[in-house]
Amino acid sequence: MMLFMGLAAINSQANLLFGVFGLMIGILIVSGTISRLVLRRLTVHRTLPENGCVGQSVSITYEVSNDKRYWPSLSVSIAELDGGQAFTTQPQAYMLHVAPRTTASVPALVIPKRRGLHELDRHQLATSFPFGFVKRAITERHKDVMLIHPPRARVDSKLLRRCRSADVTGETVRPRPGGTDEFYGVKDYRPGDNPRWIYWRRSARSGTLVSKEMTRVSPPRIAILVDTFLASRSVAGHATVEQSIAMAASLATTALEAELAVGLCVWSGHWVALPPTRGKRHRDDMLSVLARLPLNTEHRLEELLDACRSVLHAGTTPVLFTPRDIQVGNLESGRTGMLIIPAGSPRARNWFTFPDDVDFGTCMPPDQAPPEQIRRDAETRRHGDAGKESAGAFEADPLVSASGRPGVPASP
Amino acid sequence: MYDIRQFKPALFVLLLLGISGFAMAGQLLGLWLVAVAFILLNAWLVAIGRFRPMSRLLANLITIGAVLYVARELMISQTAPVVVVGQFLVFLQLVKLWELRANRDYAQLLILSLLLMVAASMNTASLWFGLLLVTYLFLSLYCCLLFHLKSETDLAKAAMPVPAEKISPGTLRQDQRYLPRSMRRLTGLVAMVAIGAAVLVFLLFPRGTGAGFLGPMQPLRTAAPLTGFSDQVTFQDVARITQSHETIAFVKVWHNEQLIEGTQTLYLRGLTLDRYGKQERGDMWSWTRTVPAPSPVQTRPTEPLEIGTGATDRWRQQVALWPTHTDVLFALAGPVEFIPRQPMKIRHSADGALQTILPLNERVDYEVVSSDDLGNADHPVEFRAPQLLRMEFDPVYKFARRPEVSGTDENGRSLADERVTAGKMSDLDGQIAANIEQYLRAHFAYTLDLTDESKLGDRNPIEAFLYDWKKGHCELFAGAMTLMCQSLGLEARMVIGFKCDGANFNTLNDQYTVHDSDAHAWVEVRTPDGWKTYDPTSAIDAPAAPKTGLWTRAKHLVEYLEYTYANAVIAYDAQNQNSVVASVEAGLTSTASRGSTAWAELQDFLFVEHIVGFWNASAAILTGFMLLMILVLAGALGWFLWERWRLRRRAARIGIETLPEPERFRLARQLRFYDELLRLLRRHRITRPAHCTPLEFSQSLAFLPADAYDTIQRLTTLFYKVRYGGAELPTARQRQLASVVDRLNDELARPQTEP
Repeated sequence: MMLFMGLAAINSQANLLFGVFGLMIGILIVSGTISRLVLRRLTVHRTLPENGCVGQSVSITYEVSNDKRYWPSLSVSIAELDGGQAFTTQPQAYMLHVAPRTTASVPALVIPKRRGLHELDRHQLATSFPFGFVKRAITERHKDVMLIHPPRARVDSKLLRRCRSADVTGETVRPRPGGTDEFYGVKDYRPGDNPRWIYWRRSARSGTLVSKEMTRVSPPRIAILVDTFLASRSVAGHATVEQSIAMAASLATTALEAELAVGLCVWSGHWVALPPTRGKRHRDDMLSVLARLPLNTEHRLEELLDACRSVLHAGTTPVLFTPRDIQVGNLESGRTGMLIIPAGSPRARNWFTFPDDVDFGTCMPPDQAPPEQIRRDAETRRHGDAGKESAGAFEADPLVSASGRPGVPASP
Repeated sequence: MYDIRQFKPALFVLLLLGISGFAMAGQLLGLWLVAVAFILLNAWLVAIGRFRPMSRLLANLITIGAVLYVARELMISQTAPVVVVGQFLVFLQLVKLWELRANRDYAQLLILSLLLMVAASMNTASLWFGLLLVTYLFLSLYCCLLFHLKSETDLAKAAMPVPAEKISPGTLRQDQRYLPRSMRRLTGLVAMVAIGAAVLVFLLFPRGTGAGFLGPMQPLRTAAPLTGFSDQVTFQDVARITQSHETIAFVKVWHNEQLIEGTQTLYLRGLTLDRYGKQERGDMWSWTRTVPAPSPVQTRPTEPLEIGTGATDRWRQQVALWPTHTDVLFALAGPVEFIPRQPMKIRHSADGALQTILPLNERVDYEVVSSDDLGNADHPVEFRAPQLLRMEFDPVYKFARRPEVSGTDENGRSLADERVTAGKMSDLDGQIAANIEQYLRAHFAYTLDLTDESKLGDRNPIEAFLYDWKKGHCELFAGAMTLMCQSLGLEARMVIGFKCDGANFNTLNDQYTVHDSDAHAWVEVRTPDGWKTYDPTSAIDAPAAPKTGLWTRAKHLVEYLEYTYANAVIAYDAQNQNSVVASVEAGLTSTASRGSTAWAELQDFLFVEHIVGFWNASAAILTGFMLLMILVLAGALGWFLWERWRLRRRAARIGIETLPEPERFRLARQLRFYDELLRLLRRHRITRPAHCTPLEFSQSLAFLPADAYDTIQRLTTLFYKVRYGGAELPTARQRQLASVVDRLNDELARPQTEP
């Protein structure tokens, strides 16, 4: 358009057109200045959710503060440069406007695709404001971590019923002190105990204050054992292990929601054995362990069974998730009432319904990805298809440097 | 995400401005009305939410049809190509407007609108268009910024869909509240820089090179020559003459180098017409110029054309003549010198007419020096024999012979008869001409509207004018008088030109503004003393001369602006450019030269031997003064730092040390009274615990005497007003509070009396 205007001005020698041509040159010049101005003194604070779950969208909030005294910032896109492999799309957000000396908050919705602890560090602020002629970007560092839990499935109620079944666990309900149900016993009265429970007759007889203890219902307990041993590092093998982990996480969550006490035993760099208990914090602990499970190519199922003895008390139902197809009779599990769930079995598929878009082949943390997958990803990137997953026009442009000069790759 | 609501209204206004600009440049009222109606209808439908976009297929079919129409028009029609292309652009805009569904349509609309304005810019020099263009450009900048935001926002919405509940309502409110202000600021910044660049390019871009390399530009309007200024002036069919008030020229006049400030009526001569009759082919009565065209003479700014010599009275006229599309130049009577501003070829006839070779399609600037004396030279061609004229125009001749028309002598004899009998030029000629002039002025009325009169048919319009209508316009008056004079044997010719009086004079630029409506015709009659000018046009019913009121001043201002705009913007050329560069260069050189001279003079002054002693004394004084200044500066700096340190300490005592620095210092200054109160209480061994708020602290002092307690309560309330209420205490009030704290000290120091 500018070229056309210049040609028209020269050809016609119309002074007004020379003015308009000059105006366009001015606009071109000011574009660079304004885009630089827009990105000046912008502070971005990223707020991550406590954790996420593979396949379920989470929102990352960016709080953008404009510390300039007079000039606003408009049309700024924010894109994460690190940790993008944890999500199906590159985390990015668009901020329309921040007035001077104010803060705007913009969300970015992402869907995690790999479990584990992911670090988000560098993010890029880019703008092509005001006219789209010049695109400028700056890179900032702000280290944050986000824990992504394994994908969660809808668990069939039949499985839960089996977990609390009397056949397997002996008694469904086991009396424990601390409730208000039936008489359990007596104990010395301590300040702070409810005076209503003072056993006056016994106190009169003994000369010291004693109080009654009543029972409370104790729900059934299950101990989840997860076999993560990976014999061959094929994509399929990885996928089955990830499926076992995801099933374990799903059962743990569902069982805890159903007020069952749940324990966990798994190899996580060392043997981790969480005794069965309840509560949100316990659930988070278990999911956190499952989310961060490392690659296990050494510790076999037998070792797991040995390690889990500490959590297998009477009244506890062991549930073993394994990537292998194991016959029940081959192990002592038959004797202990262990519920064995091979991840690839049709029964497991009936019990656990995962969302369709969960791909267990890519669920593992990036550092555990099978060599075949790493090779394939590298080839894909080489052929320039890496952007297919990202959001097209709003993908952070790696060719815009931190200094804002196009053509120079941003230094990490 | 916030919706850019400001964009659509701005776009509609932009489109309206663009189409209005084009219509103004091309004077296409019909096109403007249709386009504006369509745009407003579309805007209304959009506003009430009932707009349904036209299908792409239909829009494409319409566009193809329009392209074919344009191609046909360009090949077959006589309409100027720029007009056809402009109409096509307007049409495309309307189609796009009704097809709107995506951002690319908006982008196309913006570009089409800009192209339309470009087409108009090339074809008009109107000030109003210039103002409209500036408004348009500002608005288009605003629109482009909004459009970029809108397209980016839409892309972001598509690429990063965010549910509405995830969007921060605070951010939305902020966008709604502050976005317009931010946009105005940025538009202002862009506009400032862009205008700076535009001015630079406008001033410095090389002119003249590459002109017309893509072919000559077609004018938007087909050039219509100025009515009445040709070798043949026809009395039109009887009809209304519509006057145009378009500016034709700006004329600045000096009489013997004394500026004429509107006190003089100017008769700017154009052409003389000497023969009246029917055209050879046709039946129109007309005045014809029979003077043969002399050979042209090349004139240059450096080589003025000397036409005559010996003029005692010098009337110098600077004329800026707008394109008239005729070859006539205008000047006061008796031109003796002609100086063009740009090289041009002109023809100068013996009757004083100045003409160019080609019609004036561009503005020309020239200077003419006239003597205002028509001289006594023969008319270049012989007039027709009076006998023939009498035979041909007998009614006119009879009318002229009437004693009340041409006058009588002291014996009651008709002057006309005497002149006819004498058959040669005499003193009677001037008298007769004056009488005829006087008669016509007194007994005939001036009008431009002759629509009510019956059709002339084959009748001579001058006869109809003299016998029936008794009213007419200046050409009829001048034509009738000329023909009457010629029939009586006088040498007379009709002159067409412009008549300007004080009403035309603009005091803002000291120039006469000549309008189309100032075109005039008058008569020149040869007497023994030479050619004399007679203006027989009646003053009866003539429009009253405008008064010098507010309206006139406003009109003058507009004319002045038009002239300045046309001079400084439209007519800016390589010559102007050179002079701008030269003046800047000269200014810089002279500044440098003056600087160096001043420096040399200063050196001379300082080192002249006889003031060396003075210099030594002065140096000592100067050194002392400088030392004093340094001490004062150091003292000021020290005081400044001390004050800041004190304020910091005070802020820490009050408990506002965590506030941002400017706020902290402001409050520390304002809350000095509270700090003094705390220090006073501390002296009385009453300390505010760190966990106590000021209010809690003040309430805990109930054990103090009632007056003291009350004072502390009031001071604490004031503290809250300043600290959190944004109240400002003037200096006088602060002094008053300091005295309150002093009195409190006295109260606390007073020994307690037992109740």
